[in-house]
Amino acid sequence: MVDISRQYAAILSQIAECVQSGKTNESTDIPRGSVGKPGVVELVAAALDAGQSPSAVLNDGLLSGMNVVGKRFAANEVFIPEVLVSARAMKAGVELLRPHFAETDMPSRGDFVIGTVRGDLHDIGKNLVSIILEGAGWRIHDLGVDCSTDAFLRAIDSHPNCVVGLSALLTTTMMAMGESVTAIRLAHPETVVLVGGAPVTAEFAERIGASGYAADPSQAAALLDKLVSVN
Amino acid sequence: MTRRERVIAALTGRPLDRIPRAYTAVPGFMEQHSEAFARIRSRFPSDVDDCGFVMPDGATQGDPFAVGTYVDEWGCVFKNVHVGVIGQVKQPIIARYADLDRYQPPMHLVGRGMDGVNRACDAADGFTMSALPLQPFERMQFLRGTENLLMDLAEQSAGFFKLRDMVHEHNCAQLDAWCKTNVDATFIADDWGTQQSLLISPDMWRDLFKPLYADYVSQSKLAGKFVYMHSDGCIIDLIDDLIEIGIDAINAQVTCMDMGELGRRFAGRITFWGQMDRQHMLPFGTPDDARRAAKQFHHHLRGPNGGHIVAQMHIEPGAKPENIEAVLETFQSLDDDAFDC
Repeated sequence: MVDISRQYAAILSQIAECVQSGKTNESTDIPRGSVGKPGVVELVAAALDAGQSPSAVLNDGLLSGMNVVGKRFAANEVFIPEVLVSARAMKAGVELLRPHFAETDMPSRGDFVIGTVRGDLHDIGKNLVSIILEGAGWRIHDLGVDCSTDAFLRAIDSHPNCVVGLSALLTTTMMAMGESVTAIRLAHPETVVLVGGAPVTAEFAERIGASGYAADPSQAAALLDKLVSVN
Repeated sequence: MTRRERVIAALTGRPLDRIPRAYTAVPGFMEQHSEAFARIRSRFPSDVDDCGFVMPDGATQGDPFAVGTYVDEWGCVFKNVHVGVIGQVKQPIIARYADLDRYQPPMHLVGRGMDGVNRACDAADGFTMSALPLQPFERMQFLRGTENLLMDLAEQSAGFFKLRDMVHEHNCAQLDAWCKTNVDATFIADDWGTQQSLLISPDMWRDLFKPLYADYVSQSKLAGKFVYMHSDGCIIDLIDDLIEIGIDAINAQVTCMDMGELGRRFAGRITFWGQMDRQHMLPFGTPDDARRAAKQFHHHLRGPNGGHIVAQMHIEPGAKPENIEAVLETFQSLDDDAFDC
């Protein structure tokens, strides 16, 4: 007799491993020499064909794998290239799952609106935070770079109860961060606002009235766990 | 001791009369504080002089520090929304490696713009460096896009190596032209660090980029040049390698790292050419903070004879002139304590 639950667990584990290694599909040559072997896309399709629930594939396969990547990134065991290819693999899997959640919403921990503040075009830090938080189960709304305060306010209107993340790399654009936080606080005093970026510090975050500061993406995920109660 | 001799003494660990200083300001700062900057330059002249390079007419388009777009000599388009600082490439030329076959690096510009270099170097009392940095990693990002390139590093496809080798070939040709001039040092610049760690693993860096840097250093040394390198971020895990290949001076954000550890491991083995903290101290600190920062830098990073350090600042919009002056005054007073006895 075939042990279906063990088969399911095995394929979910394989999906998680492919996310960790960044193997998107069978033509992705990561790890090197693996062309022709199934990647996230093939394994997600196989899991769904076998009757595995989309929620399980998402949580126990894709997000589980990305969660490990986030921890290894925080521990300096992997670096940005590895995180990016893992995120690419995870997203490919999520896209396959999306139609299965058409009638309900994709399960998530909540909405996270993120953008680089006015006057600042740097986005690699913002993108890494988005990747790690998406891997932690947050639904990301990336406003891009050079975002006005109005753009953040409109996004909060569109996503009530969201958390907002503001990023800045330049010391000069940190001032714009302060202006945006003040405006968000005035219009939506209940909204959790996180700030980060190379020159940003915890003291600065406190001074401008942000809810919290994260030095890196993993700290952002941990901080969200503390600040936001999850239903 | 001339200003040039002072810098060379610092680089080689020989006795010197005071700590050399080197600072540059981006236009955004100079526009905000033109009078203060003129006063600073008059009170504390830099020990580094311009090398006389002039970018050939038509090689670039636009102003890299103005709002709008700027096209550099490789054809990379920088978008800028912030006056006074340089912008970012948002639409890479080589979005797909299939585009690489149609792309030609600007080999036709190699050696151009250098007519006045020897004249300027010979007339200079100060130390001179090549004007165009060798930046294999940054250039590959500008051509390919930062995220694309970082993923390429994980995949290491044939296209990646073709791009890397194309940039390297250009850089070697450019370096050869600089090595034929009278500049004192050649200049490498790539940002390898985030605030807390490296962008890529040290092993990946050693495998893919260290050989390029080693080529630049050996080519420079054959021509009798010093080699100066800049990198932003926390790069402590690379410094042993940089010393091994022969980099003479590193311009790093030392305040992103444990300065005590930097001193214990590397003081006297490489010259710490700044940087004084431009993320916090210069824009947001007080003159007292600035004096403390200068003393810490000197305390931790100087080598034997007080050498192997340069009081360097990269001055950006928002930096406070009084902090810049406090840094330079402090290094001057440290000089008095250290050298006038």
